[in-house]
Amino acid sequence: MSALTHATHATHPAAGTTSTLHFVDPRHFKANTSEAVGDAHLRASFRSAMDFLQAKRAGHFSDTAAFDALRGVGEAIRRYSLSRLPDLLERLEGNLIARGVQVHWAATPAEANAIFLAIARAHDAKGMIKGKSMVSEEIELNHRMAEQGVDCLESDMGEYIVQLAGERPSHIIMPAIHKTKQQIAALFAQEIPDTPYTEDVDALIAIGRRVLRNEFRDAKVGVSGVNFLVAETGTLCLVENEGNGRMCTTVPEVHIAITGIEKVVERFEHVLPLFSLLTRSATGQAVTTYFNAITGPRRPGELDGPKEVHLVLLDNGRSQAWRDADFRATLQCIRCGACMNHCPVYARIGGLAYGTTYPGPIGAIISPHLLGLEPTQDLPTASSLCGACAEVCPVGIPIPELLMQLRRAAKHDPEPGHEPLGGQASAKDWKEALAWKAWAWLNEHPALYRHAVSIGRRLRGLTPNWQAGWTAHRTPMKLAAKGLRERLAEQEGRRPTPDRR
Amino acid sequence: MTIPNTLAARSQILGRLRAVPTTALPTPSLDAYLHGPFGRGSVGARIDPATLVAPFEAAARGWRADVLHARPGDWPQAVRAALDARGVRRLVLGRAAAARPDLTAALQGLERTVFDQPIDTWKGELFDRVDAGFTFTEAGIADTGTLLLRPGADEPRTLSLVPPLHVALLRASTLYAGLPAALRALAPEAAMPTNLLLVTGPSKTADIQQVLAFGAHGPKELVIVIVDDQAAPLTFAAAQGDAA
Ligand code: SF4
Repeated sequence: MSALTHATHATHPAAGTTSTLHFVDPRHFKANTSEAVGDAHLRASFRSAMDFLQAKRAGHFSDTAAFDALRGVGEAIRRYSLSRLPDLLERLEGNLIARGVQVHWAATPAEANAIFLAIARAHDAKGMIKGKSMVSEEIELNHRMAEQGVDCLESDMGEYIVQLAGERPSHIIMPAIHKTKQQIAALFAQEIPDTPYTEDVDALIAIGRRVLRNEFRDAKVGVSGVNFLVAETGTLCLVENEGNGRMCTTVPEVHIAITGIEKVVERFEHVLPLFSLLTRSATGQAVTTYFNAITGPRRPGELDGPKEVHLVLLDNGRSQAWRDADFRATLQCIRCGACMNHCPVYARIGGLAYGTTYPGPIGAIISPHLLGLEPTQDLPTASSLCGACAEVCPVGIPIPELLMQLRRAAKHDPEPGHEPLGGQASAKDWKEALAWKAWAWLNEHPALYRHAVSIGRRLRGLTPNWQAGWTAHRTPMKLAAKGLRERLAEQEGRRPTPDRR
Repeated sequence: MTIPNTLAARSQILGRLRAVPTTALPTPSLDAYLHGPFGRGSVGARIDPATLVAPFEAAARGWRADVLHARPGDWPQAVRAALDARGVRRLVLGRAAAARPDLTAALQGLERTVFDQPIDTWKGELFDRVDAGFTFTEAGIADTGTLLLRPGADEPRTLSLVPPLHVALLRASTLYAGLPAALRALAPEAAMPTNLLLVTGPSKTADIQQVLAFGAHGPKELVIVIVDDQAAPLTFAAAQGDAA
């Protein structure tokens, strides 16, 4: 397993890589943002990629009425599934076990990693070959396994490139979207033995294919994510174009799948509209090359397929989102990436600046549940609330409303009837709270309000240029010489109307 | 090292979920999908497969699959011609295909491997020596140019995955307008096979600067030979993919 040594680059980033590598903590979001918008290379990469993906998707959903109808179906299926989540999980488990799949539950990433490690050890595996799985990114599987001497090698082309460079995926569908072919050409020439520099994309893909083919052949353990779980049949559905997902789930003796508990639907039939929505929303394809439905390990008489199949069901904060009637909508997500492709913020700063596994609008609404609001409190503020994300979301998640709720939750204690989120009110600032209280009080007292405003006007020449946090990114606030009410009254040639309360 | 018992995590997770009273939403209606433009012609009377050959071909070609036509009497020759045109020397096929004398006769002179041993015993050869894999298909979906495969003991999963060229035989009589129509008719969920596959075109990726490249990890080329068998539908042992 020679090329498995590449996996170690994930823990030892190659020299000369850019600073974007270090965007690994959402606490640094604001600083990362400034750095990202200053990186012309990165911005050009994302702009053209977003334009490309938007155009591809638009080609499939030019008929908005048809899209709305299909979206209605997708949303109904996701909401229906979530409303029965605990029942469906138990049915799924029963049917998986009946077909010989070993089911493991993990409340935390640490628990999930312990399961992976134990399975690898039980098979004496030094490495694992991985298909694309954002949930495995979420638990930092590669790093945790590397610490224990088990090398995980990414086999999705984009993920492979990102791993080879010692970076993180910047997009949930196209992980290496931030890299140019010149960068990839240089990376391959430097990191893969006997590889000449070439910018020819076909040649680059052929190089990746050659390296990874040997790994598929030799690996004992294959790892994958799951797009949909079917409770009634105990089926794992994987959607992909490259075939590496099929390789990882078919060739090695052991297949370990990992996914979040929210991915389950009741019936196989329910997968079809979601599949259609997913591929069209993600990459603007009517279908992907492969739709791979797996029901259990190799059966007697069969000649290939894994002999052991494991499914790791991860909670990691999902049950927190689920227990709240509003936040539950977060879990409708089918990870198509359309919200990030259409987000004006994501398009400008790229995926790495978020410092989370899931970037963009979906990242801003799911990360607070996975990581708590304390480290992620700035993410929901990275939105102009333009609503583009909700407009394209194929399962009707009201992303802007959820962003607003998370902003409130970061600053305030829970409202009656709501359980606190992890890190609830961690962004509370007493000075700010006091200022708002005073403002509210002033507004409740019209006479005092007018008085304060007229004093303020007379003193406007003395407005300080430094106004605490406000002036960090904005010009100072200054009272206008004349208020809106007075200006309107002047236009209409009348006296300002007194406040009525 | 034993695999940890995760029942504690299980009861913790399910306990958290069960602690919340929920009112189940009504069963979703799939009508908008099944009747709508995304599930074309999916319910009601079966659309005559004869009218679906041309749309299937156009869609499959759109995904860069090659499409050839054959008659019930000469499809083995068409398969051979497709292999020869691509310089195939070593072919792997499943037991079902190997059991057909007409195909065997047409393949004379090619190095043939029958996939009748567990993959574990000849993985290296399969990966490194084979040029092409041949499979039957269970159905075709015209809307998207998709093949529905139900691999099994007679046609293992890797036949359509590992060799750089995949040649698939599609009977025109098994064409459906859309995926919902096919899955309604075939109802695979009644007895889910270990693996149910939809294949549309050769393997591909756009992971480098959104430039589309074929042959990422699966077959670089997909050739579909359509047999015009509507007058007398052909059946193959592998059509149901059952264990021999
Ligand atoms: S939130 Fe909606 S648009 Fe964003 S990834 Fe999830 S399903 Fe797609």
